[in-house]
Amino acid sequence: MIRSLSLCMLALPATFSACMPSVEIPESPDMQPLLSAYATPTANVGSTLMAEWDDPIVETRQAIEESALPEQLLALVEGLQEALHSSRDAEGVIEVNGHAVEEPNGVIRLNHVCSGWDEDAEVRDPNVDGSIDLTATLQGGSIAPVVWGAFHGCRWKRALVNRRIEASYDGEIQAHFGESFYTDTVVRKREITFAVTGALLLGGTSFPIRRSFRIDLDGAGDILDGRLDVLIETEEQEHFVFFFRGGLLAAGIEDATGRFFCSLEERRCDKSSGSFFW
Amino acid sequence: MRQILRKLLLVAVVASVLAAGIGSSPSSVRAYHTYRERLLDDSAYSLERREARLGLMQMSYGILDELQVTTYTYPWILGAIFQRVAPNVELKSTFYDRRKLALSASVGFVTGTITQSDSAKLRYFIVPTAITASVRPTSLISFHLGGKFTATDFSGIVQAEGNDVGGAVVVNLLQVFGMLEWRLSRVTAFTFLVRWAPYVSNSVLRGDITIGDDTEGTIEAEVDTDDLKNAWALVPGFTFSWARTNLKLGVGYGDLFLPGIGLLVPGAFPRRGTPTPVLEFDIFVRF
Repeated sequence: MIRSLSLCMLALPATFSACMPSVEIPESPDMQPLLSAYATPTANVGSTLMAEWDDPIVETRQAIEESALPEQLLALVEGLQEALHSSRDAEGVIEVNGHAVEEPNGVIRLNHVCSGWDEDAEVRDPNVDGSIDLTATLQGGSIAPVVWGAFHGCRWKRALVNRRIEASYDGEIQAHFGESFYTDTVVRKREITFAVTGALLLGGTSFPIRRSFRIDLDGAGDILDGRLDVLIETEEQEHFVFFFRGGLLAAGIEDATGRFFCSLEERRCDKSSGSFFW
Repeated sequence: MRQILRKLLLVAVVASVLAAGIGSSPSSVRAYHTYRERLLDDSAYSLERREARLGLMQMSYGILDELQVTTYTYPWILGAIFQRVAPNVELKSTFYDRRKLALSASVGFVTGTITQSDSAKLRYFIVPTAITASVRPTSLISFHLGGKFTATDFSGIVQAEGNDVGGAVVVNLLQVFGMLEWRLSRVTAFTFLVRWAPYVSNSVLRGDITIGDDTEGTIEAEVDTDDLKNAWALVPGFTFSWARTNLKLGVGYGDLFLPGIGLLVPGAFPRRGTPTPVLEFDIFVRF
């Protein structure tokens, strides 16, 4: 009996060794190629390209600005920051049940039930209102720059100047916040690059979307008042950036030749080499 | 404050009773370093059947010839002073004991709760397991070698509420130790103890995050435990075995390895992670 008991005792360390505590941190999506594409446009935009991309650009802008899709993700990220921030001790170290977790590396997975279209509903139903799964990673105590996840038929209501519209999104989303950020960083003042692949429903109209865009709210409360850059990849694998400043107040293009302004209403751009129309 | 003083008084009373017990131990008290009476701490030896050890730091009893049960007193005492008692038990089996070699295995647990606020408590669970070998090349010299693996789990009893993070933190560590025992006389044995923690896992947190009413999630994170890795201690000392009383006293240098439960506290003077003087002490009777 003693021998058996001893063998059991000897087996225990091996058992514990087999279940050593460790965390598998998922690799975040590589958004570096996208960031490089924004930094170094390769296409030389002229009448032909603009005639081809005029409508998709307008549709993308409308879909993003009127749906405020980025806002759904930003609100979640800010909620995460607040939860982590409220768990910090006096020295700013994240504390879990009194145990200081100094400069952790790890992964955070969130599930959010969307607000839905029925504003009077007391309980949100993920099967009706949809949900968002979001993943963020921790690097030495800060939140890594890439946050990613998926919207599962997520529904919300968007308040515009004179109306409220029903919006929903079903698809994947990735966001790059430039660099790692802390629990007290104001992410709304950052330039944030998004990549979305899915279907956006806006006031009953569906917009299939597979696009990267970049916003810079610069503290503005609404995306309509901030900056929006849309990355366009042409069939020739070249790319350029169409930008909007303060809604439609100013618009223009950054391409291989530099930056210039355009008017979508007049279907005209003014390059340093001369204006072109489409 | 008054409550803590009351608990300190209780501990003092218990210690007095214990000391009185040691002073007036029964006539069958066993002492002196002999072939049969060997060091029990950090060695492969255990009490024989119906043999007991009553001491300041631990109390043991031989259930069978090769199996002893031990409880360490300081987790109970510290628990009584500060928060709650910390039940702990260790089983040690000397499963091989021949002329010059003895082997043992042990396993134990310590558990308890720490109150952090009116609504939040931290529950901990510690499981140390050890394997030890004792070699007696001569009647005066013995070598004791062993390894102790300690698994810990600290978890909150209260779930996260509102915007909050709650969960459990685990860390595992392995220490190896070696001790030279040199019997200078039938009363005095010189010991030189070396402890080293070659492996300390990262501290791993698994918890829940709640954000308002509509968002919940999980957090998994790990933290480097660099100040624990490669912790060490060198402790020369003596174990005196008189007619009634046994006294173990060692003063050394390094990090503090908590007796029995296998946890360690990194030295902190003059700065964190700096080795400091460490003490090993116990007074006990065997009968």
